[in-house]
Amino acid sequence: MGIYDGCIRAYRYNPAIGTCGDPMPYYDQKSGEFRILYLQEFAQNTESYHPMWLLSTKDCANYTNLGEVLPAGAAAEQDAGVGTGCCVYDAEQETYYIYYTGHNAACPQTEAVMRATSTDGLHYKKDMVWMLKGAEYGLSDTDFRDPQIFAGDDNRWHIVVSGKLQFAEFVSDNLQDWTLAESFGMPWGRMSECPDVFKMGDWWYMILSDQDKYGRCIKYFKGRTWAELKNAVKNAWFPNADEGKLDSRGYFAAKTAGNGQDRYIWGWCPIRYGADIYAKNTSVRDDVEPAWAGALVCHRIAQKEDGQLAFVPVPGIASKYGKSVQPVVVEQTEGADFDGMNGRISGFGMVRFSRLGYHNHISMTVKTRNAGDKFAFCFVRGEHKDGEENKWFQMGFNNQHWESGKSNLCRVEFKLEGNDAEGRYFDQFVNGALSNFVPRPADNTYNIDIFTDNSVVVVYYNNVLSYTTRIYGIQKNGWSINSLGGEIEVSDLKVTQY
Amino acid sequence: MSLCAVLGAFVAACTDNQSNLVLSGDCLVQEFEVAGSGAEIDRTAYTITVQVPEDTPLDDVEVTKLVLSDGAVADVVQGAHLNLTVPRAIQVTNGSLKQVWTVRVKVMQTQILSFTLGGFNGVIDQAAQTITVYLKEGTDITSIKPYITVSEGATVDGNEVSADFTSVRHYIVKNGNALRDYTVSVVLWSTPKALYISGSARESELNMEERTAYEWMKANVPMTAFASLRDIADGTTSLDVIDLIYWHCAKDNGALDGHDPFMAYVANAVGCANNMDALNAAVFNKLGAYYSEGGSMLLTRYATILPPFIGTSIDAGGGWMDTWATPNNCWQARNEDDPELCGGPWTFSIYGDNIGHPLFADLVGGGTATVYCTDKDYGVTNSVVCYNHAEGWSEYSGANGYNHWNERVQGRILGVNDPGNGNIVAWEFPAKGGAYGQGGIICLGTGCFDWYSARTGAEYKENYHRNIARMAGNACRYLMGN
Repeated sequence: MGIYDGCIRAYRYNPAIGTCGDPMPYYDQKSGEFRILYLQEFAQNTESYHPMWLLSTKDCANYTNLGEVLPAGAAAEQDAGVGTGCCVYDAEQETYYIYYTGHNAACPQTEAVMRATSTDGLHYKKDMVWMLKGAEYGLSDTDFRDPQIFAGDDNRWHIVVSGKLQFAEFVSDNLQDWTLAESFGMPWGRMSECPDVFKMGDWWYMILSDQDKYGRCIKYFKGRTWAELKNAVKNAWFPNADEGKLDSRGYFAAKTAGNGQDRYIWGWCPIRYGADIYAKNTSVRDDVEPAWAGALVCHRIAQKEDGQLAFVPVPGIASKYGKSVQPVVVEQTEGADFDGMNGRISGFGMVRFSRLGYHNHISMTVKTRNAGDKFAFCFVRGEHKDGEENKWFQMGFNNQHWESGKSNLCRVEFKLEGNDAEGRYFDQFVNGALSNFVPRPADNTYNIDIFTDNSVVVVYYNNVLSYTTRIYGIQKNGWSINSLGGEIEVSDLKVTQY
Repeated sequence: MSLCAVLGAFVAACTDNQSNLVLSGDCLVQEFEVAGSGAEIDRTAYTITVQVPEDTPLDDVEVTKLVLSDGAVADVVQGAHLNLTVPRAIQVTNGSLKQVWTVRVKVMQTQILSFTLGGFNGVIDQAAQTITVYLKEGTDITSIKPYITVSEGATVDGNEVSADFTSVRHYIVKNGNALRDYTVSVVLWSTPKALYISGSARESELNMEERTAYEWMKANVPMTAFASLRDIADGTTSLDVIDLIYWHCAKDNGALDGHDPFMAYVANAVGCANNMDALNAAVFNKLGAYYSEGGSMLLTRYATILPPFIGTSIDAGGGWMDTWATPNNCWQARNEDDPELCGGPWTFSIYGDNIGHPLFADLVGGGTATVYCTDKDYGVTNSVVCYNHAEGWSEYSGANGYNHWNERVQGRILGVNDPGNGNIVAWEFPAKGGAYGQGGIICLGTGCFDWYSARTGAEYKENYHRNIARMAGNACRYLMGN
């Protein structure tokens, strides 16, 4: 499977411990598999924390756990806390290198770049001598992390490190001896981390994770050359209408790997805490850091002719949801006229369907009558009973924006809705659980795919939108399609599960 | 029913009441050394503190010794290299037991601070760990006693023990487990590189103020010889191979108050007529040629009157030597045997942006514009040579006084007697036709620059006074281009 409610749980370990942080994927030429290093987060970390664990997958849908490959250092060591890095394979030397972050505030420098080597990609030996320290290059010794290596068009190895409000670039001919090439500013002078640099087609890209309190999410930049890309980064020349944002606040620290044909991206969807599903699903704010680490989520990367990127469904995951389930209409309200797989809903009508399972793939085509006709999907939705409170969660497609430059854009918004015991309607907009803005379809037609796996939900449409979030409580509950004032036509509704 | 009984059918060992765990060994680190330096091993805290000398490059050090308890193995082996700029862990396992030891570094001070042989201080290169002592040819070095001072807490074998220095010797400084090995060699010289000069005809005739300066120079500036002005005048001492001349001119019973008294003093010293032609022929031309050819000079007290006589200050209009660009105000308050006791440290002020000037490096109480020279109850003669800056007093006074000084005297002001203002008491000249520093001249006329005190008060304790020697040393290195 490709979407996990916690890595550990997915591997049938005790679900009470552990989540997945900062994936570091690479394509392993020797095995022909994608491999994903990640930082193992435990609910109760010790002084030594975030060892690197390793997964392998061929289809980005089914994973094998290869266990811990890089332990965290002892409490006093520089890498008592292991931070993000990357893995590269040098075919000439037949050596795998993990370059990673050593984090320990008790050391002379809080952060330093360190490395370990392996001949099989499974058993690593740490280099006990080499260390890259920012202060030795006039850079920060508190923020100096997340090394990412790529082979440049100049046939040299490049490493990009997140320093304090600036990236540092080092170059090497042998993956061992590094020389500072330059440092360049981060977009808008905001702390960005987990940089990933790659070439796809004719374009160079950097994907980074913006740590800004309100703007937290992954972003990307593009350029025809590495030099042009760096210019785009330091000048904040964004490639799309929404500050280069991709996906949502619920998808962070993502990095990519390509096998020469397809490129995929892995990030984590933060776990959410709360006493019950209502507290969990609303414990998201746009000014508070979400929990660190969560579930591993993979998308496929699509590239448009102009170089813009979007995340689209992973074929392997889609085929994994292979069991077809007939959606049963259990309720239709005024304005809805639905026959099971097709129908029309107008005004504030809704169609409620039978209960979902733990892993669901819901797909359909929604066509709005007018460009600004809104619609939504509601989950955790039960039957309304007189005299009882009834609550559910709404994912609304908001395609009416009056802000400058956003009138042709759409985004998914999230809120808690319900009726109290007296039948009075209430709703609570959940800040921080929004998708980024993407283009609204010119023909008002949305081809929608919703994947759920336990509490993880990923929504795609038209190869332009991906929206990763959490909704706890989907399984064993009903769901609905809602019109929000206009009129929509729904066709080809399908539900598959595994 | 016991658990053992339940499992007994499956786990054979259980029937013997034995565990598969191997707990018989220890996971001790018994000995540990990096780069030849040993460690303190704490078996309670499981820490290994390696004591290394300062300057040890810690980013790549070899584990030169690692001894474990019987049967134990570690993930770091003898011969491994570690970056010990950060703490490191060593994991020791023995059977089923495992223990993590933390290795840290403690830097120990292990420097030789001074090495004196036959009254001469060796030149110490701390980075190379070498000491060179320059002794006059003819000195018996087959059995000679070194006097060594080392960093606080450190010890050295061989201090004050006579030894044969005809070949290099090693002196090893120890502090804890840290060791530092110095190689000491003696160079016997016959031709001096530096001169201490004087108006007195012989070393034995130097007054105590001058003698103290000479003793310092002899001990600290390699290959220093004594020469009188008369030796220079009559050619007994050639200046051809000399790089540095130091002249500390001091006298009792009244100051050499500027141009004319200075000429009379020199004429008397060399035994020539007191007129410019005679003095030029006898000594000023020789010193002028020395300066023109790159020789440098440190001049203190009345010797600071010399430079305009040897060509430092050239009249802008006529192009002739402006010998009247000499200091214009000199005085002596007390004789050496009846000194004035300082009420507190006497100081002068660094002028302009010269705080970083090499002359003022590493001074006690340094780093500010104040240069401390004496201590409370130190006895001074208060002998001063300066360019007076007092309003209406001289041509160098007033708002434009310093600019006028620059134009006429053609040097650089280094020190004044009041912060940012006052009489000019320290200055320098560039090398002839060149830059400041090597080949130049440093002049210290301040009354604070005093080597010798015949009498001190009850509360005297040397603290700042060591700055006199430090400034002299700084000046010598600066003027010789070191």
